[in-house]
Amino acid sequence: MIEYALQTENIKKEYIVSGGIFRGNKPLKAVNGVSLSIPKGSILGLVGESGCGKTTIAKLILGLEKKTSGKLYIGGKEISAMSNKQVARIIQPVFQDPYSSLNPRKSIAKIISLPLRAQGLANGAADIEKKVDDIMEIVGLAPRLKHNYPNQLSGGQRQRVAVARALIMRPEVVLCDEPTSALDVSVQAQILNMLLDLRAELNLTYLFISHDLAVVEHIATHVAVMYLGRIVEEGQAEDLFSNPSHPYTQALLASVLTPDPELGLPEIQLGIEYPNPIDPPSGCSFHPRCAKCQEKCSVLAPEPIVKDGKLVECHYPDNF
Amino acid sequence: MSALLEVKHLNVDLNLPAGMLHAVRDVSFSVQKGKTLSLVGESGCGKSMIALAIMGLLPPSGICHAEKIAFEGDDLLKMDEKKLSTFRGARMAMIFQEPMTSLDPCYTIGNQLVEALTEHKKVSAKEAKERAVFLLEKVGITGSSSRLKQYPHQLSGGLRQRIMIAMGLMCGPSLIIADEPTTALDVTIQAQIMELLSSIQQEFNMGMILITHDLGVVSRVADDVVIMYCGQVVETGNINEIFNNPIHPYTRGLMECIPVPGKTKPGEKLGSIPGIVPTPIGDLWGCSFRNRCSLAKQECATRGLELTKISDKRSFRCVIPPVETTE
Repeated sequence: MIEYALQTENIKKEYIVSGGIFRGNKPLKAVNGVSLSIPKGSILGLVGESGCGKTTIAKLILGLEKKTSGKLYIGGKEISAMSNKQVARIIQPVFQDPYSSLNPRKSIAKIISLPLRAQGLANGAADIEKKVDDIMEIVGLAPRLKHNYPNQLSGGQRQRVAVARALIMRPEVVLCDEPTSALDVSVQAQILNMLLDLRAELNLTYLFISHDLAVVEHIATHVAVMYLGRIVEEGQAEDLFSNPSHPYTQALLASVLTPDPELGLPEIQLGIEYPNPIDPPSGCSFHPRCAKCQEKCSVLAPEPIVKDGKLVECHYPDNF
Repeated sequence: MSALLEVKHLNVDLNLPAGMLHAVRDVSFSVQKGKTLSLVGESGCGKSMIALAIMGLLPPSGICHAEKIAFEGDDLLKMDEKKLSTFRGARMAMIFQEPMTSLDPCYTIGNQLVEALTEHKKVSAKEAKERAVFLLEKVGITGSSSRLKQYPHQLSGGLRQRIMIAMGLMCGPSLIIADEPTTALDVTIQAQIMELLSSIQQEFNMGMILITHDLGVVSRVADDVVIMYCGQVVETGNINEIFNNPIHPYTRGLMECIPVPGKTKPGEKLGSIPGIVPTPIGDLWGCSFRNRCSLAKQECATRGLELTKISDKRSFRCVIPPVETTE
C-alpha cells in the first residue's frame, strides 16, 4: 500500500468579497473541491496561472487559512485533530520572496533556530548551536554567515536560509511556494539542485508550487494542473508532459518558450484572458478560452475521469 | 545603411556611498531598423542602466561617458534636456518591466494615452483619442472605447502591459526599448505579449532593444544578442551563433542552467554557475567572471579585458581560446 505524506479530500475555500456598496457580498471560490494525494518521498508539482488558487491551497495546508469544507490528512491524521504546533512539526514552508520572508532584525542563526525554540525541541544553547551548524552545512551556507543579517546576503543565500529554517526540525513535508521565481537563472539552478539533493538525503516529500513548467518538469515526479480553483489534470510528470490530455495543459505547455532560435513564437489560442473568479463561466470553467469547446461544454461542468493513475476533467480529452 | 541607434564605448558609473560602482563598462552595439537586439544578463549586470543612459533617464548619482550615442544621426549626448525630451516618448519609447507601477493610478487609461501624443505633437484631443482606440485594437484589447474610461487598477497585469505597449507606440517611434516586458506575467500571457510586440515591430519597421534574462524569450524573437556580465559585454553575435556555438564560459553556463523540457533529464542535476555575481565597485582588473569560472587560469586575473573580434558581429571577452563545440 502506498503511504501518503499529505492528502486533501475535496477541500474548498470560499472568501466573501464585497461587490460594491449596494451590491452586497459575493462568494469567491478560491479552491473549489481539490483532492490531492502526495505519496511519501515524491514531489508534487502544482502548476497554474496566477489567481488559480495555488497559494490558497498552500495556506490551507499550513493552517494559515481555515478551510470552508473538506478534509486534510497529514501522515494519515486529520488536520483538525492536530494543533498548529503539531502541524508545523511535520510541514514547513519555503516562500517565494526571500527578501520579505526573513525577519531583517534577526541574525541568520536566530532565524534558522526559531522553529526549534518555538517547539521547545532543543536541550540548551549548545544543542541549538550544533543543530544550526549542521543544517547550515547541509544547505551550503558558510558558517561565518551565522551572525550576519538578511540584508547582508544575496538572494540565493537568503533562499538557502529559508530552506535551512524549514528543515531544522526535520519535517516530513516541505511546501515550496514559487521558491525560485525571484532568483536569477544561475542561482535558480543552484537552489533546484540543492532541493533535489536534500530530498534524497533526508527523504523529504515536496509540494512544489510554480508557474514555470520547465522547472516543474525538471523537479516533479507528479504534476497537478490547476485552473480556477480546480485540478483539471493530474498524473505522473513524465506521462503528463509527453501526453497532455486537457486542452489547458496543452496550451500551457505550448506557451513555454524553450531556448531554441529555430522556433518562432508559438500561436496560442487562449484568446481571452483569465476569467474573474467571482463570476466564473458556466459549465466547464475553461470553455471560453478552449479551442475545442463544443456546445456541451458551456452547459455542463465535466466530472473528473480517472484512468491508469491519471485524472482529467474534460468532456473531450485527448490521448485518454 | 547606417544604423538606427549606435552606442559606442558607453560607460555608466554610479557614485554611491560605498564607492564608485561601474555599472556599465565600455559597451558598444548598434540597432538596425526593423531588427531586434537583445541585452541578456542577470540582475545587476547593467542592462537596465544602458537603457536609462540612452533615454537620458539615469538617476542623479549616475555619470555617463561615451564616445557617442547616435540615434538617427543625432548625437544624444550633445543634446540638452529640452531637446532630449522632444525625442523621448516621441521618437524612442520605453516599455518598463512593471505594468503595475508604471501607469499612473490617478488617471484613466484614455487620459494617459492621449497625453503621450499631445505632449509631443500638435493634434486635437479627438484625433489623439482616435489614435488611442486604433492602437488599443492593434494590441488586442477589445471594447477599446470603454477601456479608455477605466483606471489601471481595473485591469489585469496582461492588459496593463498591452496598454504600456500601446502608449509606447502613440507617437510612432522608430526605436522601442522593452525592459523585461514579460517578466511579471504568466507564461500564457508572456507568449502572447511577445508575439504582439514582434508583429507590431515588423509592421511599423521599428528597431527594438529587448532587455531580458530569459534566454527562452530571446531565442524566439531576437536577431542579435549581447550577453552582459558585471557591466561588460562578454559575448556578442547573431542569435544562431550564440545559441548553437556559445564561446564564453558564462554564456555556456547560462545555457546549461536552465531546465529545457525534452533536453535536460528530469531529476538530474542542472549545470550551475557557482557563487554569486560580484558588485563592480572600486578598481577592477582582469576578467570579472574568473571567480565563478571553471576554466579560470592565472592569466585571467591579469589579462582578458579586451573584446576579441571574430567577425563583423561576433566577438567575445575571454583569454581562453574558443573551443569548437561538437554539436
